[in-house]
Amino acid sequence: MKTEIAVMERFVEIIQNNEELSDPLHNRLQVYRDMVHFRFVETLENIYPILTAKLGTVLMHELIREFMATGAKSPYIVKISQEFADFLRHHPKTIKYPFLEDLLWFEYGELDLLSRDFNDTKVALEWNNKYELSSSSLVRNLSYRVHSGELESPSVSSLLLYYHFDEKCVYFEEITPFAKQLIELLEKMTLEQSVMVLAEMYELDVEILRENVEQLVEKWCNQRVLTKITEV
Amino acid sequence: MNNITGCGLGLRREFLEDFIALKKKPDWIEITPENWMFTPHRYRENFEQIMGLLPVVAHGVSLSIGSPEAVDKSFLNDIKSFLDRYKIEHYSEHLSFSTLAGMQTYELLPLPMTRSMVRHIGDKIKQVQDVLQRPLILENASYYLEPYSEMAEIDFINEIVEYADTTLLLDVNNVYVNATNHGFDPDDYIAHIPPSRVAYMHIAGHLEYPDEVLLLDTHGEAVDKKVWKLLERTLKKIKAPVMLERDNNIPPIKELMNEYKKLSKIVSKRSQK
Repeated sequence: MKTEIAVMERFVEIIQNNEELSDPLHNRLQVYRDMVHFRFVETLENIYPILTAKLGTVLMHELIREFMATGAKSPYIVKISQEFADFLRHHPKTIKYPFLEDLLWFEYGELDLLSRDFNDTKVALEWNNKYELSSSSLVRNLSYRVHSGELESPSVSSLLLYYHFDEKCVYFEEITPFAKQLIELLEKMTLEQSVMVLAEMYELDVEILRENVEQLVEKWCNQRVLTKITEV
Repeated sequence: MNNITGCGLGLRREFLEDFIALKKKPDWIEITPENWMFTPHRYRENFEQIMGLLPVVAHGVSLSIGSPEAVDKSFLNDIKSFLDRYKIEHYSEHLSFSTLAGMQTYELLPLPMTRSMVRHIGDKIKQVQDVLQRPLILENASYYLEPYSEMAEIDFINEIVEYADTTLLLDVNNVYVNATNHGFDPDDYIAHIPPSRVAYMHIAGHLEYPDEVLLLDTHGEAVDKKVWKLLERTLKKIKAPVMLERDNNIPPIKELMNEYKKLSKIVSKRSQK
């Protein structure tokens, strides 16, 4: 198998790299090179449409070709999106795009939620419960409002991505720092205790705050954004 | 093949809901396990409904049976869990490679057709079958160049199938595409296949590459007239179920079912003779 392996290695090397081929229009190595490149491009451009538009197809294709040469590892093509994101994070040509991390999270997050199956069921609001984000939702503090296409100047926000079970698609919603803080508190203490902490922190009337929080948590429970933490 | 008779159709996400609504469904379906293994919520209900309705064959794309390295046990275990979960008895894959030294290309790449490769693939098939606990059906793949070969494709395939004592998924379109691209006679190729080794067959569309005599196995077009004719001639010799493949430019299910009906007519006409 020594010769066969050497032939296969050389073949893959040629199709993954950009070395010049003789008579490329009629060279069947070029056919394979185009097929492999197209498969990567098609997959990654579909997952990262905003990134592709921002970088431009010339740079995007160049980066994809370099990524191909480093070797994708997962046998499942849909999973190369995460590998590609890691590759971009460490690439010198992306340093000048400070919004990159936020944009990768936003675009990959949608695919990630669309690709999952979920076991969490809808839970009811109960004041003595602790809650955490369900597997059908993601939250992150952003330095750029990538969801509104604001990629040029930094602007802090918190974004919630969640899977809509009836419409079977992913929605995003900007949430206030207060709402983000509430989500974080709910993991550590009950809803009742969270309201007390927030009331003290923001110097708010407990009863008014309770009403507002009740509406918000009820909505998240209905959307299956939150799930109950069951104490062991 | 148990439960698999007549004609099949490849199940694709693009037409899941419309497929369920069909009054007259195909005799059986073929699925790509890699596309359904981690079935997302948005497809699960429809997919599981269909899986309970019809006999199923799984046709993989990521096994890379020709790679020099050993079989990926973790990947195979994923496949086995999936096949077991849906009680799928039949599993087929391509005679090609797509991975080298752990690097994925996600394309079916051509193999050096040598005796060493016959033994290498034959041994790997046995390992795969040991893990999966079911036979691996091997498909003749399309190829656009021969990187290094000491034997004809038909001998390469027959020797592997014999060595591994397995069966063949005969892709009639691939025979036509390869015959055109490499200048051999497709009927002569089919005449050399032992009919008892054919588990089932594929038929699909291809594309003519611009500016030269090169056909691309795209699965993105309707089946070519010459491929229909080749199938008719093949069915005179080989009695096996046939499946219609379409992976790209997927038309509405009604249009695809018209092509399926054409296939069904040809197959039933031949089986009556």
